[in-house]
Order: sequence, then structure tokens, then C-alpha cells
Amino acid sequence: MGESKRAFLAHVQPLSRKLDLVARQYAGTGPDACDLVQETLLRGWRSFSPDDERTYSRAWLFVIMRNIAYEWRRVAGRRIRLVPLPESELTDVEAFEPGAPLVPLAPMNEQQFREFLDDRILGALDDIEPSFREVLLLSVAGDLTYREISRVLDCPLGTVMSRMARARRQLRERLAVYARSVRGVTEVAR
Amino acid sequence: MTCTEVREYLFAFLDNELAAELSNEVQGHLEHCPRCAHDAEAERAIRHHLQSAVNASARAPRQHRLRWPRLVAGLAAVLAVALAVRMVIKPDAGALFDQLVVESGEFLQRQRPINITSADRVIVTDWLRQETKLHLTLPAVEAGPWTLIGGRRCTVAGRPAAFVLYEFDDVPAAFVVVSGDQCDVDGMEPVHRGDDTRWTGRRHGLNVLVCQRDALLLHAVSTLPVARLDDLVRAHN
Repeated sequence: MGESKRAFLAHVQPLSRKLDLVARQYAGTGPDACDLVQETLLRGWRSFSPDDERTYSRAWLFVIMRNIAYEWRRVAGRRIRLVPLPESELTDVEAFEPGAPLVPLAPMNEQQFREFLDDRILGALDDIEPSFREVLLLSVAGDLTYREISRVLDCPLGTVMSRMARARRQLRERLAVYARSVRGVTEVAR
Repeated sequence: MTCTEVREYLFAFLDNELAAELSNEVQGHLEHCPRCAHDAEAERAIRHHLQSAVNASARAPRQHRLRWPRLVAGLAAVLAVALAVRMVIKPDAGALFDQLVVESGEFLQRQRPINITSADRVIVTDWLRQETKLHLTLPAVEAGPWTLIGGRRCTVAGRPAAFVLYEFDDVPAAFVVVSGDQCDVDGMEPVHRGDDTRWTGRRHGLNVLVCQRDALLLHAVSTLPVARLDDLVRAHN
């Protein structure tokens, strides 16, 4: 095995599962996610130089993956769940009150809460705004730090923190709505 | 620190993203404020379940199971072969080869060289049969220095074809199966083995071996010696 290949594998292997998870979030569980991972690795491999190892952060391949996903989003036939941020993002951020009280969840005991989350968490995730969901997924599926996410999204650290808070709040709001609509949970709450 | 300030920092705190001093302040507040502590506990549970759910989704069946070390090796290898084919074989190498080179160039231009990555011959064969409608079998090389990397559907001269990638001691070799019963073997040397005839040639540093099986034409292309390519084709029988 060549030195370049060995160095590339050493960089990629610890991230393999995370890349797979993030690709599934961008492209679903079908062949598009498989293609997205392969394309990411292919482009990564082409630009990789073992002599330049210090430039390859953990975020590097996620940046490539996201760029490809955006390219594919413009091409018919690819089911990419990325949505560009609205132009009004800055205005939105100003309007956001980070210290506002969190939406209360219906009272449940620990077991009920666990079962409720098991049933509803992915549905709630799908319901939140895509630009906020992406930050959350890069954290949860990609296991990236806020600073790494800011590199992937090419935005300031503060923007990541703001989007993350908004994503979590939206997730909680969706869960609260679900909880109110679930009969069993409502009964428990009485 | 007030409840409002804690809520402002809560998510970054739970993600261990706060500086130590600020984190200690939030922690101190949570130890004395049951309401904020309850919010924090619920958010921890939500994040934990979200992580579990996302991980569980990765265990769901997908069309192709990736084998990472082989995938990366495969990508490297397919690049090597495809680049070599594109750069080395010239258009005058024969109509079929010409088409083969053109199609290989297509792989590169589309930058999607492998559809399925697996060392399992049955899995790759089934997938390629389904995708190309060719009644093909792949060389049985599970035991030995040959390794199956993966495959891709393609077309050669408008005909469905299967592009399969192998490695022999890390040296890549392409095995291309295309429908047809006539080889363009101008300039190639016939090698007779019993009733079977194969044609071999060397094109600008690459060895090529061609043979016919039923209604299929098999091509092996690599920098490997012709004897090695012959091993591959023999393992197809």
C-alpha cells in the first residue's frame, strides 16, 4: 500500500461512520447517500497530499460532502435535504431571544418520556427548519464541535451557536406539540 | 447568573462548548434552580435519544454496504486504472478499446467510478446482473492475492457493460464485460489454450487481454503481466 493511501486511510477511517451518518441525513438511506460518501472520498483523495497533513482537519471531508450535496441539489434526480439559508438570516437572529423560557413538555415519568422520545424524535427532527437541522445533525451525526461546524458551514462561531439553540428550541417545540396530540400522554398528564 | 442567562447558554453548556469559567457558572445555577435543572435534564435526554435514533438509522438496510478500507482502496485503484486507461491508450487502439476508453473517461468526468463496493463476488455479480441485464459471472478469486473491490454499470459502444475493479497485491486491474460476439483484435496476439482463444496486447504500458464467453466479451486491463490477467480470466470459467 502506498504512503499516500495509508495516510489517507488513517485520516478517513476514524470518520467513516460519521460520514455515513451525515450522508444519510443529507441524502436519505438510498443509493444517493452511498454515492455522496463515495464522491466525498473520491474528491478528498484527489486533493489529498500526505505532506500537507496539518491542513486536514476533521471538518475537511464534511466541507467536501456539503459542497457536493449543494451541487447535487441543483441537479434533477438527487434527493438532497439541504436548503440554503434565507437572505433574512441576520434579521431572524436579531429577532431570536436566546434567553426566552423553553416550551414546557407534558409531564411524564422517566419511562414514558423515554418511550415518547423513541417514537417521536426523528419525526420532530424532520419538522424543524432545514438550515437549523443541519447544524444539529453535524453535531449529533458528525460529532463535530461548534468550531468544526463553523468551518463546514463557512460561518462565524456565533452563528453556529445561534442556529444550534434555535434548532434545539424548534425540536423541543415540535415534541411539545406531539406530546399534546398523543392521547396516552395527555391522559398521563391529567 | 439568572435563569434567562442560563437558558441563553444552556445548549452550548450541554455540548461542552462553553469556556470553563462560564460553564462553572451555569453548573452552579443548575445546582440551585430546580426549574432550570429540569430543563437541562430534559434537553440532555432529548439529545441522547436523537443521537441514538440517528445511529439506529444507520443500521437500517441500504442498497450497498460500504466496506471502508476497501472502498478507499477501491477509489484509489480505480483512479489509477482509469487515469492510466485515459492517458495511455490512444484512439487508434481499435474500435472496441476506443469505446472502452471513452466510457472509462466518462467514469472520470462524472466522478462516480464505483456503484457498488464489496469484496463479495455474489453480491457484486447480482447487482451488476440486475443493473446491466448481462448474464455475467465474475472471476472466482476469493482465495489468493486477487481482491475484488467493486463494480459499476456502464455502456460500451451503446451496449450495456459492467466495469469491475480488482487488485492484485495492491495493483489495480479492470475487468470489463460487454455484450457481443465479435472482438476487434487488430494488432493483438492470439493465445490458444485448447479450444479457447484469447487475445493479448500491450498498449502504451498497459496490458490487455480479451476473450469471448457465450455472448459476452471479457476484457482485463492493467499494468500487471498478461499471465496475471490470464489468471483473472481463467478464474472466470
